[in-house]
Amino acid sequence: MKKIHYVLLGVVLAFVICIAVGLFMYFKPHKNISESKPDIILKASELFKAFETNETDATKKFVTGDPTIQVLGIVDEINKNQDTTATIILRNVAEYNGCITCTIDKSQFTKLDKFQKGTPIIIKGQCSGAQELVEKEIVMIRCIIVEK
Amino acid sequence: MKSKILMSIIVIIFSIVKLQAQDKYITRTGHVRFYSDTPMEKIDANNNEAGSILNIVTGDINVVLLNKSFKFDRALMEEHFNENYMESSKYPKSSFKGKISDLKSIDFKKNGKYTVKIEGTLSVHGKDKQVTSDATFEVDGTKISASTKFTVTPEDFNIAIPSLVKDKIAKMLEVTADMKYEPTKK
Repeated sequence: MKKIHYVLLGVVLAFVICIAVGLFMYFKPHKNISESKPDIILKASELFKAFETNETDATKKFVTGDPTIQVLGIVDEINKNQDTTATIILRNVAEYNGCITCTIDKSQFTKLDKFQKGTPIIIKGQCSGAQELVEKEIVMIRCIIVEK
Repeated sequence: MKSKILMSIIVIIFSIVKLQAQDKYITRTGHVRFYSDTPMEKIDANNNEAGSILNIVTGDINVVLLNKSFKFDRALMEEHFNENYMESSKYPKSSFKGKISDLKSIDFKKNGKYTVKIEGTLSVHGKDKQVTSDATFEVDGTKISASTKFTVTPEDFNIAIPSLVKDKIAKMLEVTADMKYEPTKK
């Protein structure tokens, strides 16, 4: 009789753990970029060069596994988007024909006042790769502005 | 007489070259969203980094985007989207290449809203599909905004949905695109 109780208890416990793990996975939040330490720190021109030299290798290094990337670049443009985000375009890549676009959300808007065309900026975020229309463009998402 | 003809030819050539420079409109921050609604689950993914070029003389429209730039409410959804469905490491980009089919009905010199048809090829997950859709173009000075909405199915692009989650993903996915174009510089 007692044995059955233990078995039953075991089954119930296993069931509860399964559900807990399932729920945890299901509601798993996005990586908190502002609190995560950067996995890679580099200059905008270095990031650009990596994609220009070998896109496959660069994708493996900067995109796969979503590492947190911190980039130092020069602001070229700041555009407010149609929803609650803005895009900062970095163009510290004189020898290359291209740019890096970094999307920030509303929470970063208060920091924007300090920046304009030509000011250096440090941005932390995730890279989603490179795309090309008239020029090569590296895309960074979920960005935050790092204050010194 | 000869020199006059020559001059006018040169002037025409130059004006064509000059015109072409202003024919192209561009955006790097196009918004593409796809939406699926079932009683089990709502999926709302947004990409604010789509790049697009519009040529107002030929009516050509090109859109490219990175699948990894789609943002979902839940991290797990985003992971499944990239790893299981879109296979973003194998097929990182999606694109649309097409044109405005009734270009004449838009007067790009006059401010206003115009409804037109666009048609072209949508490339997703390594597969092409012909799409036609209504689109609204709004001309406001030197700015042109365009928006469209159409539906696709995962099967259109050889994306298999496992039976376990079949009820959570709508049969028809709604795709909307909003582009705010500006004239290309240079």
